[in-house]
Amino acid sequence: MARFWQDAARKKVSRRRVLKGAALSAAGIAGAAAFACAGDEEGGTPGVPPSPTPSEEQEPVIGGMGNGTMADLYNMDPHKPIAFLTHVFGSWTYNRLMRFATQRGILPDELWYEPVPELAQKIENPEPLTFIFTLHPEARWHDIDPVFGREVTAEDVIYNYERFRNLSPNKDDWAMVDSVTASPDTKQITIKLKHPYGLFLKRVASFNDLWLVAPELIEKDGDAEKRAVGSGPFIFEHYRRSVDFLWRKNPDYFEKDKWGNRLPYLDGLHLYVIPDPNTVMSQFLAKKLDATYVQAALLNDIRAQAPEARINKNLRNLTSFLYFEPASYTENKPPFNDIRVRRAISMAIDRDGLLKLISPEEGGEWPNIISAGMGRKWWVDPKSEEMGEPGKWYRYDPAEAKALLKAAGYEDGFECRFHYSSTVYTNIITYYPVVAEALPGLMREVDIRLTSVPEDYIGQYFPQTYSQGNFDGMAWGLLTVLPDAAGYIEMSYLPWGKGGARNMSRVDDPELVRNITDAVQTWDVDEVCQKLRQIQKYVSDKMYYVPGVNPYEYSASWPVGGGGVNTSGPTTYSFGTEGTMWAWRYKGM
Amino acid sequence: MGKYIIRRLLMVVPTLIGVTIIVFCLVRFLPGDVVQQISGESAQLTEEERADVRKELGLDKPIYQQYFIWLSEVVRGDLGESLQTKVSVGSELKNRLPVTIELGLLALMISLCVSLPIGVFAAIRQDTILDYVARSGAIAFLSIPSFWMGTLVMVLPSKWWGWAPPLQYYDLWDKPAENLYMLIIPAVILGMLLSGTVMRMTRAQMLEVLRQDYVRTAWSKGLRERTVVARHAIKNAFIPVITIVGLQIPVLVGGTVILESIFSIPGIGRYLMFSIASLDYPVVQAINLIVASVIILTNLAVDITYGYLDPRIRYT
Repeated sequence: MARFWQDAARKKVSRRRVLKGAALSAAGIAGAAAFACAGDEEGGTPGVPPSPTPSEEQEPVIGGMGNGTMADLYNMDPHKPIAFLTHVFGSWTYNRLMRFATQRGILPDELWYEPVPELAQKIENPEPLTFIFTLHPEARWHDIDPVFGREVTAEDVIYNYERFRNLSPNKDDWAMVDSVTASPDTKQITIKLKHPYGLFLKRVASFNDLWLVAPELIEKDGDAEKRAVGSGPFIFEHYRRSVDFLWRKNPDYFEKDKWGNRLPYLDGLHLYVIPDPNTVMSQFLAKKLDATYVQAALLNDIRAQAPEARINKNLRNLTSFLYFEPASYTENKPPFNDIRVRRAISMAIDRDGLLKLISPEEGGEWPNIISAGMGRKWWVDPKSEEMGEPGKWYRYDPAEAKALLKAAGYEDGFECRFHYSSTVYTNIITYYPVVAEALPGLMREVDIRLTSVPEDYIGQYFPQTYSQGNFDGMAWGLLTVLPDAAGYIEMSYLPWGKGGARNMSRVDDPELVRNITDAVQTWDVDEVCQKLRQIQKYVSDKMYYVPGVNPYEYSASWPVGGGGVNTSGPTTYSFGTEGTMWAWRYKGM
Repeated sequence: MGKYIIRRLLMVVPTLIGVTIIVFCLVRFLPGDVVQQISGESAQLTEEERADVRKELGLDKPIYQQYFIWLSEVVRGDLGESLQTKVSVGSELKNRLPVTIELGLLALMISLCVSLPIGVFAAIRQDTILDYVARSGAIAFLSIPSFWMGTLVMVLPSKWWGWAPPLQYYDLWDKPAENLYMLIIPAVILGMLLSGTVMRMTRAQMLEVLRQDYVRTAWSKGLRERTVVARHAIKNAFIPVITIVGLQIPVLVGGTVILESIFSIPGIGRYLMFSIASLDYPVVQAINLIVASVIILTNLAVDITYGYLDPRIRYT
């Protein structure tokens, strides 16, 4: 153990020296849209001077452009890909019936992922299985070709629902829906469910699902891949691949703030595609970008060079796992078919050590199938008493791990391949490569000898290996951000092809499936929560997948404006409607 | 001369075909499945659906048939459609190629403006301080990788003075000043890289020519230094230099790929990188075809220029 961390520390020191030499060269992120973090305020991080933050009563300033970064898209059509960037892109242009709660400053934990009205002004639940959504009377499509500002109708929502149901890889998220109909007055949508589903409204608000696209666009162009026309707060102007994205304000947007100002406040939004992280950081320091992500290791450098920048701390709702080859469960193939081996692997992971390595100041939390970024109500802390007996499988104990391996017949350990992405996450989720590099060393401590198989994310890892469960040995992967706890559990443990879209290892546990079905088909949300907590304990005991770590992550923003993103905890994929719409710039900045 | 040019032009065709065959085959060996890419990252396709997409893309045909179909379209001026974006590759290149060409030409111009005069002066003032400085400079330019210099230029000014190179690209014809402001820094970096080689070659050739009998004769006639150098020495010294400049074109293309990423310049370099990662075959093939054509034609131009510079060279 000591040897491993000594090596890791040495590596870290030498890296830091290189980084210092390159003057912040590795800082930043060229991936997700950073601008929306501009209003995500951290509460009192040591060493951070107080930033001018808007008070609750401060009237916003209207006008100005927001500048940020965004990665290249493969597809602009929000119903087609599962890729989160498409949904991030869509959030500036499109609306959903509902969105998640937002407020200035720090959003209390209990409001994380709380659905609130967006395009639907009113939501009624006249009988248990029926929901009626009444559209906002002023909701209009953008005043551009091919809709020219016509009213948004219930039929438009039906059109989008049908398209989503036919095309979207996320269509199973709405599997509980029996029918969706429009009322004759064109403003009401009635959704009938097949069975109780306590978290249904979270699915309605989900940033992965039902974005509303102008039907005429689909009729005219065949899809929404070349243009984007919606009813959202910004009107899409252009996307120049590898250059930039430009939106201008939707002057007719239906939402207003409490002073009666029509949202959004900004005149527009300019997001640049900057592949080089040095460039991102340099442009941020030169104040040409409003915000950027920051590696925890470079926080002090940023504080020294940009003392007036606001440092924002996030605990993302992003979980990471070691997945085992599917044959382990489908063909009972050793070694991972043995629960003792899986537990041993979990006990070989020094989660606190990893967190210290990734985020030296703040560390982070231990996730199980649900992470703390989901909100503590939904997350069973593996260190907590509530976790009970299964909690011990999370504790770092190489000696016990070896004993488990010995009991399973692997006294001398074993060899296997270890698949991970060597490309995209290095920029977007900066802790991923650190953990990917550390895991083989940690496993070696218990005589599990991993042969690393680094793969290109776009070309191979995601489409071929990870998302298809097409790997031998183990794969290190991230589970995308979902807006509700049930989603993680359903996607991970329901059978592949029957709602288990992220059941990479093809876990097939009938008892678990029964429990999941029972939990999600419950009306009372608190009861759903309790049942999902029980499931977390169950899967923690089985260790079908071995959870990784959930570190605090950082972004930096200039105190140029107010409003901002919806939470100080989880980040979502809908920066547009939940964050940027409320952001503004102070005059003269 | 005319026959020579025609013959060389005809030789360009098999070379280009060779290059396209190699690129066409190699991109198909890249790891990953283009069908999965196009269908969506997590799409759970059946074998039938997979086959349908392959058929739709023409990927179900033998590779030689795919090649001939592509080639026949290219000959008709159709570079195909991006598999990822469904946008015409030709129209995308129409926007991006001028940016890369402008960056390349600027870099070449800077390189020649710096390296030729310094190379000449270093030769005619051999073993003086100027010569030593020029030679050291040339070695330094050759030794410093453009990506490192680019990173420093990007990072250090922002750290010291809160200044960073421009972020927004403007078209040359719309806003020439802003366009130049964005391109001049990467062009200088790239130009420096090229100028080291050219400067050293110019100096070496000048030294050799200055020792020739006809130059000695020119001196003995009492001609001024300017006349001897400009009229008698430079033209002959520049013949091999032109070859070197021609051979720098691939270096120039490679340099633009890296610098376009660092300086966020929307040229073909970034487009190529993105397309390789996303297995966008038509784009990769089209860009390689263009780059190969430029390099081959540049070499042809170099050969033809030989004839102009050195009348002794006869093309038979």
